[in-house]
Amino acid sequence: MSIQIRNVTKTFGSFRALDDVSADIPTGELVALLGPSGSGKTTLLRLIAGLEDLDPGQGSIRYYEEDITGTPVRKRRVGFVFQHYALFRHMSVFENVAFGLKVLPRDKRPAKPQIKNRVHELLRLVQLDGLAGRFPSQLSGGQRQRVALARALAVEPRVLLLDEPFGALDAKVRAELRQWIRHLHEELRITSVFVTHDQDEAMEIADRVVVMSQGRIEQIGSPAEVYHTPKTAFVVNFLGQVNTFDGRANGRVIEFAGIRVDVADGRDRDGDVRVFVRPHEFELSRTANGTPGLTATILRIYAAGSVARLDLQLTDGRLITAHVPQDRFAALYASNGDRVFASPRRVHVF
Amino acid sequence: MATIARSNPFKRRPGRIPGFGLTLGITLSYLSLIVLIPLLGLFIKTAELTWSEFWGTITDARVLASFKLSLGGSLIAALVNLVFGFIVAWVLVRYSFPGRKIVDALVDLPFAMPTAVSGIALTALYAQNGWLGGPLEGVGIKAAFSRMGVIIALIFIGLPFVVRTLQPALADLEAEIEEAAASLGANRIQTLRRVIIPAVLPAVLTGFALAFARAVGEYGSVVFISGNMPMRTEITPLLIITKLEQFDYAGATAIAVVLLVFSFIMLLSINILQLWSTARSR
Repeated sequence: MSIQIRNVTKTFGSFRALDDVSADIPTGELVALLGPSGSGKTTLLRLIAGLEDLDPGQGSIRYYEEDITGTPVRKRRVGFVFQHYALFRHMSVFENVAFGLKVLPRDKRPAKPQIKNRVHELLRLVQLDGLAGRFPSQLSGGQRQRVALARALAVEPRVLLLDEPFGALDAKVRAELRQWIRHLHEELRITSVFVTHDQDEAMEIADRVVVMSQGRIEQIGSPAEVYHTPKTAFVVNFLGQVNTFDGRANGRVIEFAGIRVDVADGRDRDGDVRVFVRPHEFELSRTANGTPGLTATILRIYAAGSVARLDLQLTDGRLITAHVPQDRFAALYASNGDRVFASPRRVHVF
Repeated sequence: MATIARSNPFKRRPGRIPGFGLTLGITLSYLSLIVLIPLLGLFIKTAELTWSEFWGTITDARVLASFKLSLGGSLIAALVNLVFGFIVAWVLVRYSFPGRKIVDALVDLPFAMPTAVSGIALTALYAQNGWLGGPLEGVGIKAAFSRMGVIIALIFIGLPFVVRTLQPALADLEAEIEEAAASLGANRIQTLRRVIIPAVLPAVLTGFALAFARAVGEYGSVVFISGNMPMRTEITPLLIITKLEQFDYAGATAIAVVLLVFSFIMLLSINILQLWSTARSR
């Protein structure tokens, strides 16, 4: 079930949480709403769910072709998973998952044996079938979140909405659970939207990422698109580490930190600009090799990991970070205090 | 040492949290002094009566009528408080509105006022010539100097017990579980019945038990508004005082013992019920 969000505005008192937001969420995709806290991502999710009302007359939300702007949450058939699980603590795991079926109107409610089968089927899906009789307080965080997911899936939701689903879990469980959610999504193919402030999480499992800031959408695209071709300074900054410079543009030539580079994106610019270079987009060499490079001294080397991470100090005292593949780093024969040239292979200019 | 620790149940918790022996000792001595010994005295005094004297005292028609009013009235008052106390606690916990702090403080007034003062105030209000008593009389309801007056006074003094017990339990309940229930298709009634009430049931039972216990023993506020008509609006604590004034100490304690046993059974069963409902949620 696709979701269309059209010109949605939401204010809380004088605070504008969402400002004229539009987005399309295609059927069967797993979409991440990514942004820092206060960017409006949770508000947007709650509006899609119907847990929050739109400002009157400000935009619309549709599921496929059906306008559900005024439909209350309980009639929308959404599955909602909360950051802190929101399980019913006086009910067993079984009763939690069965809840959505037991509150159906009598004529739509399945008979008891069917409910039982359905609940066990769902518990098998989330790999908790042995724990049907337990209470939420007897489960770990990861198990609770899977119960919450099974409970949400029980009502056969048209869309599945997850609010920071991994936020309350520790790092290892978090990594496992997000892989598992990805697999589950491939199995079920329910249109799913999840909120996160963790860019790795969004990049790793989403088909499409909606980057948000201050109540507006900065960019929508696949993880590769938003990472490699960011459309705004905010997106470059938010998605991973980046070195920032002040520069001046003159047509297609950008001057910053004492060097000039051509920007090959076909756009002419003039005046003051911000220049961004990601750490892995620097090419390091011991001698000037003709390409424009920043002269720097190595302050510190972090050699452990898949890439070598270097803190560099420029001649004007500024600090930058560069990431170099381990084999390239070994070929440099560099150590602390050595002088190197850092040539940006690629720059992002705004 | 290990064998001693195993054989002596009072030493079962070694080391970790020190002071178990000391605090348990203080607890038992204190409870004995303040609660158990006075209550024991009650039974000893009652034992001065022969069995037939005792039976005669407590099955006297006037005494039986007072038991019925005291226990029945307390039960009704506690039930009324349960319903409205729940709503008051809910409003105070869930919504913020101007004057909330004042409403919150108002709830404690029945705690703080001398009961005689509340009794006089209620009587003035509900008597035939009072602000509320007049209009009620107009529609044929006699509020003061009737059984209803007794119940009104018992409701008044019991309200804070229910509200103050429920407030922390409701505050502990995240608003998210209501949203979860709604997203799963439950309407408001289903959410209240299947999610909210079961989750706060232990607190509901405690509040009910406290309001009931307080009402059974209430004297000061009731005697003014009830009119104290024998067989009709005479509460048990008043009968006890009457006996005391006639220097019939054993008769007074006999009635007290029956009241005590009734209340104890009632509180015990509520506690068991509560244990059962807590066990289900833990």
